Amino acid sequence: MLKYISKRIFLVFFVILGVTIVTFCTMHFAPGDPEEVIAIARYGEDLTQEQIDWVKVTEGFDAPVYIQYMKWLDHVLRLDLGQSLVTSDDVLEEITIRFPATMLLAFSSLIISLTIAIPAGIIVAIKKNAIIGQFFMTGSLIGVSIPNFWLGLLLIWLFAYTLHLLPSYGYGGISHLILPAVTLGTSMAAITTRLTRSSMLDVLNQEYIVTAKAKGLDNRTIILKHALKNAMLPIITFAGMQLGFLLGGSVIVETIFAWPGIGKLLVDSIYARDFSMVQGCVLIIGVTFALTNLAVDIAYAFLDPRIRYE
Amino acid sequence: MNKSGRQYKNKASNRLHLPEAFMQNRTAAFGGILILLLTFVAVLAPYISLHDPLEQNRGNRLLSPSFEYPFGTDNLGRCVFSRLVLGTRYSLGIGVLVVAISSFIGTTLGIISGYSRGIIDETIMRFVDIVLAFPSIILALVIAGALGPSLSNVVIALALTHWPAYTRLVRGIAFSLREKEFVEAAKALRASDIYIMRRHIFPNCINPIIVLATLDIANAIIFATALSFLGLGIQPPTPEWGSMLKAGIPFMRTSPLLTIFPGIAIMTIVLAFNFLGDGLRDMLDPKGNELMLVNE
Repeated sequence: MLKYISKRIFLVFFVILGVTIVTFCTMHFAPGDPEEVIAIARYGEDLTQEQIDWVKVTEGFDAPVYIQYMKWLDHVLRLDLGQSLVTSDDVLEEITIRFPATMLLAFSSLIISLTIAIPAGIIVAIKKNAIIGQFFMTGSLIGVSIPNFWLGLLLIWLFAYTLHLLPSYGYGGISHLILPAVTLGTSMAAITTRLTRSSMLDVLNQEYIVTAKAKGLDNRTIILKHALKNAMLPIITFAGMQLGFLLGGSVIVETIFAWPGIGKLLVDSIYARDFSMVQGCVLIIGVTFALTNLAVDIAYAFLDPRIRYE
Repeated sequence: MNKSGRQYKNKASNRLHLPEAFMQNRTAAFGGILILLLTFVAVLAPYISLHDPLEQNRGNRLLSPSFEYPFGTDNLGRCVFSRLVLGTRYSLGIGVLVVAISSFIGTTLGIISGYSRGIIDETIMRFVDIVLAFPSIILALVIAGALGPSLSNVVIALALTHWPAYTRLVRGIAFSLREKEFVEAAKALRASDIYIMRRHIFPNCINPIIVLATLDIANAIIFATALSFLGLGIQPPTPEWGSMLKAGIPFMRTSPLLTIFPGIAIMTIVLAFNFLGDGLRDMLDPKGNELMLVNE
């Protein structure tokens, strides 16, 4: 297993290196030279050539690209992500302030998703051909097809504007958390239900389930004790991947509900063309995503004896 | 060489039995019919719409549905129905275009990667890893945001983030096919690598690619509308569904239909491709991965 884990860590190292390269490049995706972009952010649209040249020299854009990258990487490794082009706030500090909100939303929606999806998936797998099974399968397909920004708006319309039960946006008590978490949670539940079902079906076709049936065990024990335990592996992996995705800030839902997480920070920075903040967000999101996936891989190794004893 | 080539062509032509399979799989048939209908609407949009979708009429602002305006009018007095009809073109067009570009790039790289192995394979797969190192919406958002909002930039941003799925899928298949006897046989007959990739490896990848591409169109449409919804995609006054949804938000308390109709439109088209893709998977690629279906 040690070999497996060290191989994973080695790979993650490369992925993170890739993340830094992409992050560095975001500045260069924009039309125009980066010094011009920064100069516009600093001095407004009316620029003199001197101002642009000044930025070019002070920010080191006159050096070759790979030198710029090395310099930038050097700063990043010392946890210096620079300052916002617009507000001059420290980028890393701003991201750290936003992170708890994103984490809260991520874990709440994951819990909602799994509470719906696992029981639903099991029911669908057992009642494969019954009406209820078909109903859930079609339902989950519809669920996957609803864009979550629209679902969010519908929930706002129903619960905030029509029934006046919950606030439509903002951050604060549990009442603010409900709508965004339900929006994200139900979107994810749809796909997780389908995964639970196919994973359960795989397991239920295995020989040891036949053996368990032949032994005369009742269905309940077979499903809950023998089948579910093994079917959980892919579900856990997928849940972990989703968590990594959510920790990167669910941009759309955070934007709709004005949830002050990383996703909203990223979108707002893109609007403001605040490229250093965008870079910071992209870097942190990429690294979080990579590390969560690493954690999932390692957890998988512990949970799956076939890998554990390798 | 010709013989083995034909043999696998025949195998690929199993798809000729599709009509019968369609009749048995009701959801797939439903999705297929819906897509045909929507294509019809997109092509004939100018003949179906009742008013000029861009024409503003200050006197007819925020009207409720009526005979003249079946879905009512928006805050600038434009006919919502006609705007939605024209909007079909954008969503359908972007979805198909993005998938055409990314499946072409992804498949080509995947076949090369899986067939050649070694350093080329490593290089291509590291690129795949880098793109997949981010949640794809984040990368698309940043690219679209940096390039600036426009239709072509939405397509570029989505194509740049969608190709790795195809590369991964195809590479896996190509990798395992390389050892098969028919490839060995073709090699023994001195078929060129390009010939083998095109005539022996590619035909065996087609079914899973079709399934992935169908589901991916649904995905690309959601992403494209999401970008426009965030204001980073297609801009008003173009009647794109995502930007119509965004424009409706300020009027949600009084005229909720302005946000409800475009949402239904997006859901319908996405549902159609998901139904079709899901059904195609049962028919063409039964062991296919549930995770091809991904939301957001």
